[in-house]
Amino acid sequence: MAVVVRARGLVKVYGQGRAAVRILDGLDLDVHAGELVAVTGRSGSGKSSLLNVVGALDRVDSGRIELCGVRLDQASERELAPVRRDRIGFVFQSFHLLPELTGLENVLLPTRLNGRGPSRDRGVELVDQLGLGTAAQRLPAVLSGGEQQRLAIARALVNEPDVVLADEPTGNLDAESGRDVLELLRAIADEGRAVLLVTHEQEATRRADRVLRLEAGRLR
Amino acid sequence: MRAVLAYALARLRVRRGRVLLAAGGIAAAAAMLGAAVTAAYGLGTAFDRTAARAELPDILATFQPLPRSQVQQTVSSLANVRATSYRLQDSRQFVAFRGQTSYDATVIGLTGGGPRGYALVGGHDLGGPGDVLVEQGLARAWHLHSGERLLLGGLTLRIAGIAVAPDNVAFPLSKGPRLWTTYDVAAQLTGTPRGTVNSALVWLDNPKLVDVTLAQARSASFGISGLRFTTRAGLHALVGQAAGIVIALLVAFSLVAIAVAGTLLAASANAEVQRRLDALGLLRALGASPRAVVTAGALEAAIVAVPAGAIGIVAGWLAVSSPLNRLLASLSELGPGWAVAPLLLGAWAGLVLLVCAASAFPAWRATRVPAAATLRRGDVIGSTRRLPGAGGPAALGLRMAAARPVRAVAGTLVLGSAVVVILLILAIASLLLQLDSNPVTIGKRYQLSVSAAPADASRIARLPGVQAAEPRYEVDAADSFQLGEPFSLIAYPGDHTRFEAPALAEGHRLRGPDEAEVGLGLAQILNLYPGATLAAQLPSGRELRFRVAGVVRALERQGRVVYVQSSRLVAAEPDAPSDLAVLLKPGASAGSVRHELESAGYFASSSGGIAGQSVQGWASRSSGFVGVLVALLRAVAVIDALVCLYAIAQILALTVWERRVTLASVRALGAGRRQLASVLGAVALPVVLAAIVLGFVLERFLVGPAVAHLAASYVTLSLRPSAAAVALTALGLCAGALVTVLWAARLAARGPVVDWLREA
Repeated sequence: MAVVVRARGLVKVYGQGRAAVRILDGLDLDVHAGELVAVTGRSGSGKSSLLNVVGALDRVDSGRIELCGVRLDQASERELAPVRRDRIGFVFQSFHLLPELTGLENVLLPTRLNGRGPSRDRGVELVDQLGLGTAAQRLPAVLSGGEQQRLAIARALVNEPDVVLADEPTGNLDAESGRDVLELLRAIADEGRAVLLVTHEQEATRRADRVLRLEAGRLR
Repeated sequence: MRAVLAYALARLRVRRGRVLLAAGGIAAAAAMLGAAVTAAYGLGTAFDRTAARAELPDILATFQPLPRSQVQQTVSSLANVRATSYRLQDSRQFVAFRGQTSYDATVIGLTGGGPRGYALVGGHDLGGPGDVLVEQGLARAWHLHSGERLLLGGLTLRIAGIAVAPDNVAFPLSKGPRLWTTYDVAAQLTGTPRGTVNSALVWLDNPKLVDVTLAQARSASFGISGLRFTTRAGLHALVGQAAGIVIALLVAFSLVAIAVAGTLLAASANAEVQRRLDALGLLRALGASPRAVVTAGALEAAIVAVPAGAIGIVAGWLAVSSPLNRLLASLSELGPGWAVAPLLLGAWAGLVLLVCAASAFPAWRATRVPAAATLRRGDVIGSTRRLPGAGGPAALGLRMAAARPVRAVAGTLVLGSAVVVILLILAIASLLLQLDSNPVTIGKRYQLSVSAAPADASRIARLPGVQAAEPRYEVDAADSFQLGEPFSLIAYPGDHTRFEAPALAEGHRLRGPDEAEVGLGLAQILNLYPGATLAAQLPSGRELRFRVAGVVRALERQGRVVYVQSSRLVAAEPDAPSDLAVLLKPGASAGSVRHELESAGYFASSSGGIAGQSVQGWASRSSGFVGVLVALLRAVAVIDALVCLYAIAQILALTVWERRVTLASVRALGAGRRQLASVLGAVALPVVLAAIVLGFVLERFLVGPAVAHLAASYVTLSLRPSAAAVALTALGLCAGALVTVLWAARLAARGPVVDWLREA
């Protein structure tokens, strides 16, 4: 399978001088299409930082990172925006649905950002697939955590990304909703997309193709 | 408390960009305040300040030359006289300096004793027979300095100093410059016998009793020919002929600007605290008392407002000082100088208090709700209502704006106020130009004024392109019962409404020689109404009585005019000055008629607007005056435009800060700067559009009429903004909004997306 994410020697430092912490310290990572990779580690070990770097939300201090052949470490902010929009689907622990938009509007938002107009059919299809027909017409404030996270996953998929990055996607959910979400992510990988999952949960790691542990700034 | 204050200071140190933005807004509003206070005070008090410094007399009496002893004897018989001064003055003197000449100079010979009636603004007073004082207007126009020599008549005199006297507008607005010399020099230049004088300046113990003194003087001055009295109020009115309406408009406008600046400051300070409510919540969570939280809010605001307000007020003062001083100098009046400093200091103190109060209030409100609620302020509060729209970036922006209805309304009010000021500036500028050049604006229907004898009217009426020509008499008169109230008596042989017809406010047009139409300005002063009697004291001392037929909204002379038929005036005052009013046929060219007139040996000029009808005839010399006004208005407009930009920037910066999690989410979904601009543009657009509509409606139906009434209750002025002005303002505001949206989008695109996402 093709390599979707390739990272070599990633270094990310927080703080300066004696207070500096190398949260990523020469990290290497490959994620292939159709693969669900789970990254675990202690709190503060740098899991979310890794996901932010891979998702083009943050910069590395050194190292090389490619997403579908695009060098993220050398790209400008202007170049990164379409990468995030078209190549990456992000699923956050706290969902980050926009409170002013309905469920379906949230799902369709990435398609409206590319100026090509909304792929309404694809959005509706995803919403139906995820059993969110009723929730799609409501504002996020009145939805359950599970419904919100499933909508967030639908939003992550609507632009047909190459990779889905999920940051503790079940952290704010009850056990049953968490299971549903993990099944969804597994299905996404099975469809041929790369999925990089940051998690603390055993349940999640059981469904992964590979489980990597982040320690001292490197994956083991 | 100390810890809370230390935290406030630390926030200021760390968040420098935001502090600078807040300081910029306060400085812009303070600049507007400083400019408005300086203009309102400078214009509103200019005559009285200058008159006080120049020791302008309460009564100025002019007469045919008489021995000083005879005049002194008459004056000494009057009660209530504090001091007197006698002069010999003559106009039409020749003055020259380095190739610049005037044949209309007025030389004023001063006798010893008594106050002078002018204020020195440079050099020193007359020291000897070779000295001359020049008026400030001449010094500016000809670049004269103390110590230089000029030619006056046949004499070469040394310029001892430069003086200002507010009893006439300054050269070159006045036809000729004024120069003060010793009595002997004036007598030599005019060829007048030694010991004779032709004017007396009288200062009263109780100026309020000027009417009584004038009545006494009338009866005591039998045998003095050519006697004319002008009171200090009359001199004020004389200068007001030139710019009274203009100054009134500017003062009224400045008062509006002060109110708008106050609104802006309060809104700005309030918004700044909204931005740091989470920090206030944190302080409370850590155990800070409500008092400490409120104090911290006020102190943080004060630390920013004190220097920013001072800088803004000084900048506003600087921006208008120069054009204001030039404007006042052209009216022989002094700029406010340091006299305005206490007011500016008060405005600064008021500004700081206002900012502190507006900051302390939301902080106080934040202490009335649970700390957790304050801590949660930020992205979690969204609209709970569903709004129409496709759900794209623009719809998201609209919904974000709708989620903060109070802020949207406050932003609309602030921007709308600024739009009101801009539209008002444009309307005033447009009105001034019309008043300056368009005779129709002030009720005149004739196009040309010809210097010719009344007997030539029928000959001129036969010239091609001329529809009618009639003598137009105009004399300075005063009310017989209140001699301190001067007015102009304008007379035509027949129906004056063919040539000039200010709108009738009440009553009817005059129907016979015993009736008069009275300007509303004069009617308000003398309490005249249709059916009342007007007793007019003519320059010769004769009196004519008229029954008031109607009251008209005349703009000339601030409404101090009276229209009558000429027969009785000419009988009482055979030498009454006149020219010929020439009405052109429809479609006739004023230029070709003027050419015809010149071919026939007549000199014609445009009937002109308010500038053209001044007794000094300064229409042709007023372009500089209008230019100064335009500069003054532009200075205020620029400041106001900056305030507009700041108001939009603040709304957007606050939105970016409050909705940073939303914006970071949108960025995480792939939004670039363009999409962020769409979101933020949709936040700003409804506010900007609503502000334009609100500003137009307020200016058109409330503020414009109010300012017009405040400026001149005796006439209906139209301060209605033109379609072009509204379009220009709307376009300017939209362009400013676009620039600000792009700036805010850049701000949002540069924000730390990961940090912002973590704050959810």
